[in-house]
Amino acid sequence: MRQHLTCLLATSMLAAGGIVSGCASTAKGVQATAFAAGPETPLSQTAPTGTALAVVRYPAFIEADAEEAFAAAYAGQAIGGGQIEADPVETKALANSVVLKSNYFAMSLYRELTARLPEHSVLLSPHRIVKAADGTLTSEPMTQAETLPSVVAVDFTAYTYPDMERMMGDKPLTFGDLVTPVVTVRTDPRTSVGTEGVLLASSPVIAAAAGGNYAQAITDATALQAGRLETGVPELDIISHLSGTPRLAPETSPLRGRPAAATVRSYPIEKIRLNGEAIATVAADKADVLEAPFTDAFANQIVRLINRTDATKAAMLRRADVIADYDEGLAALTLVGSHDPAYRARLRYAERLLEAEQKYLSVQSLRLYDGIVNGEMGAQVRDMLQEEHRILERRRKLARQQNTAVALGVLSAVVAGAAIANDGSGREDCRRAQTRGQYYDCIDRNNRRSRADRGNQIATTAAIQGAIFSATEAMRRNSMSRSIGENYLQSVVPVLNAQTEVQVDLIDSSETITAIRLEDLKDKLGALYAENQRSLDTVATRCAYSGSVGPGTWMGSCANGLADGPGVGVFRNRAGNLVEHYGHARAGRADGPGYRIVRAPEGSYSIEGNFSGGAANGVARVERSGSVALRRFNNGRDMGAAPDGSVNASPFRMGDRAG
Amino acid sequence: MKRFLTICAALLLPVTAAAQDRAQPRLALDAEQTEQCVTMMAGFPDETPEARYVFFRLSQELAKDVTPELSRLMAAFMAQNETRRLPADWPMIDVVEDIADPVLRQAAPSQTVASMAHIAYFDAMCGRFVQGQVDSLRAFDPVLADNDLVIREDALYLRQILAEALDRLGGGDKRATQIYTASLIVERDDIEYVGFEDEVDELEALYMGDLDTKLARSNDAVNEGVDVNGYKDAVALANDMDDQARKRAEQERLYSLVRILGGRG
Repeated sequence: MRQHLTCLLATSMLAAGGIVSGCASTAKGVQATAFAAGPETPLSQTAPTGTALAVVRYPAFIEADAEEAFAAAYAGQAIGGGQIEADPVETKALANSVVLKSNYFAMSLYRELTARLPEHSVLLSPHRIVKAADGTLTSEPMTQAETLPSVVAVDFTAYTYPDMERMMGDKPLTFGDLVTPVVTVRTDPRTSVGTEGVLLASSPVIAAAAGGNYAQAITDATALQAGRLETGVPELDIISHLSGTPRLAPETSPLRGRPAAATVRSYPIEKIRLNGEAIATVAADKADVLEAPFTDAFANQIVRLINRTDATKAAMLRRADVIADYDEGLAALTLVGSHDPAYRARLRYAERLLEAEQKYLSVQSLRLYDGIVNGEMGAQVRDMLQEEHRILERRRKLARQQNTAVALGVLSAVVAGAAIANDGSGREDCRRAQTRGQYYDCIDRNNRRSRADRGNQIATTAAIQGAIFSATEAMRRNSMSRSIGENYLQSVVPVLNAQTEVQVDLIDSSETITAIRLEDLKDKLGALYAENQRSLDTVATRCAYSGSVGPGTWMGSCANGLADGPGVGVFRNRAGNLVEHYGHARAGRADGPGYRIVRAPEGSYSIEGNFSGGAANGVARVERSGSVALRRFNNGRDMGAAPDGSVNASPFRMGDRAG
Repeated sequence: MKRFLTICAALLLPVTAAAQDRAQPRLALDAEQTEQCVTMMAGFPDETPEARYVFFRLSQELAKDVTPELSRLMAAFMAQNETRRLPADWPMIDVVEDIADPVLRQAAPSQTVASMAHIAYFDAMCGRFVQGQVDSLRAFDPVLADNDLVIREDALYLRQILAEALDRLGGGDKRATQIYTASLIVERDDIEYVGFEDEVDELEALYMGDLDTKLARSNDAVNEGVDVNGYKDAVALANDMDDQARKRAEQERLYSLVRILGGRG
């Protein structure tokens, strides 16, 4: 009976050990990213002058008053699922670690892109996580890189699941030799309208990225309607995800293969396993350990996306916004351009100013890169990578030992069970012997059996003890593994805080110096510009524009108080949706080639073609989520698919208009 | 002497290039035309590379935007005024001085037209030779190209004289003249833009250099303030805690082994 109880205890302990520690995972990762590796993709895109090709954005700092909200959102909207009840101090430390690693690994992407793209065409935009006026979590750029137009913006976060206890499992992790990138590649919401400008994103943040870009597009269009030519900067997509920004669900395509039209490329969450040997020497050689397994292929993908993006549409509104700083009369005309020689001469001057700003700001990006990668902060992060890798390796070893202990425990329990099943049977009743000789033989047989049973008993007890020991050993290994992780995290909390302060000092002092000089430079450029201009025959102003139901606003060329010539009109349609019309107008109505964007709550769509009397007429290219098609329009009514070989008019092709 | 030989070598280069070009039938000049080009080029100043460069470039700039239609118009005015084509060996410096001469400008606009037509004719026929000379001189001394903007400004001034002359001769309403006049506006815009761009380039270089220096200093200052031992101390602390935990675990292992074995009795 006692033996049965002991076996039961051993099995229970083993089960408990199994539940608590389980078959421990060894925090595996993929050796190479899902992005297709291969030779460098050549750039075939030519961006308008003064337009950057890519801006790399990343979380760089959490403001003190946003720390609580960020930690709560970080735990509440964990990528990887599950309810987190982690220690708030630990969550904050992990949040700081995310920020620190994002800072460092974003430099890998910057480096790769600068190597592939022309000089001055890649900028860095670190973001500060703050509480907005309404108390919600948001992020804002710490430098002026995003005041300039760009073809794409790439959000990069090195993500870690907000529960240290789960780090050895399958949850996303950025620690030691593991990096989990959460990325987005976006363009301006005035292009790729069907996906709200989102070109590619990590699958958990697609909806938030689309929602964030849509919200920004509405804000910009509302400003236009109020007669202000200004463009805002969308918050980081990871923050949109955490803060619960209203979601939109554009159609998606898998990462590999030919994407369907007007869809977002969906990038699955993957833990990238860095080369352990490279990490072992990273402190000395400063090698980019993320390049081979991830950044190289990702940068290629970005260049492919840049090549496929309509750079003119991507840059037009922000470009006009910057030009307005120097020449308000010219700004709105630049949206679709003009044949007027005076306009073209003037535009050339304005573009040169944009280019000067771009070059100037690129110096700041280069120095930020230098400060982070080649400075003490980079050195400490590299030390950190090495130490974390060592910790991870120790935990992996403990996990393997734990698994061996569990296996041994299971084996011992099975052996004990089998022994118990065979125990205590076969003793004879010698009283039934009829002769003395039979009686002594019987006693002798029973004695031999007893000796054998004692041997079995000893073996069974040993198996049970082995099972118990294995179970306790498995639990102990698991506990040691956890304590290694916790000890490390607790010890480095002050260091993480100190390092984030260092990077803030680095960025803030850089921005202070840059901003003062930039203001001065802009003043000087503005003065030079003013000295060298001849007058424009037509200047952009604000006037009336007829929408479908009510009056709208036109920013551009006007005559007699009505839209007339190139520019942009904004109005609300019958459904109450905001509509932006980039193109030409006559007597207050859209007339000639135009590009119309309708911001519907279920998702935006665009119509690009010829307009007359305010409505689409003729062949137009219609883009909405998941589809791009040429359609025939008659006085604004969709008459069906356009015949094969049809070509739509575009306000962005100079040959498509007379004016 | 060395300098002289270098100049000679530089100037001979385009001749070789032109000889190679002549092998191409479409662009080939006949012997008479080649002879004429050599004669006309001999009329360019040759005292210094600077003077030679200036006049070659000037001839290029003066012939700019002269369309076949405008050439015909100029020829017509020359015929009406019985102005003969200038002789091939007429020194280029004299041709240019004639265009700029205020008396001739007022009294004989047809002479201005004839002088400009002479240059346009020369450029149309001998343009490749001239370009070769220009390239060689630039290769010999890249600083020569610094004069380009001034040369373009001077050429624009002389081209405006041609437009005035055509107008005075009654060709102002001709399409060819109007296109030529419009091209002068574009040229003026271009020249002004080059000046503007030069100033922006200077500002840009000044501000970018200054910013780079200041940011480098700022990075150094921030880095100097970093506690380089902080992380090492934290790791040492974590390791101590791990060691203690490991020792505790070993002790526990021993105790549990004793307990398990003791439980047998």
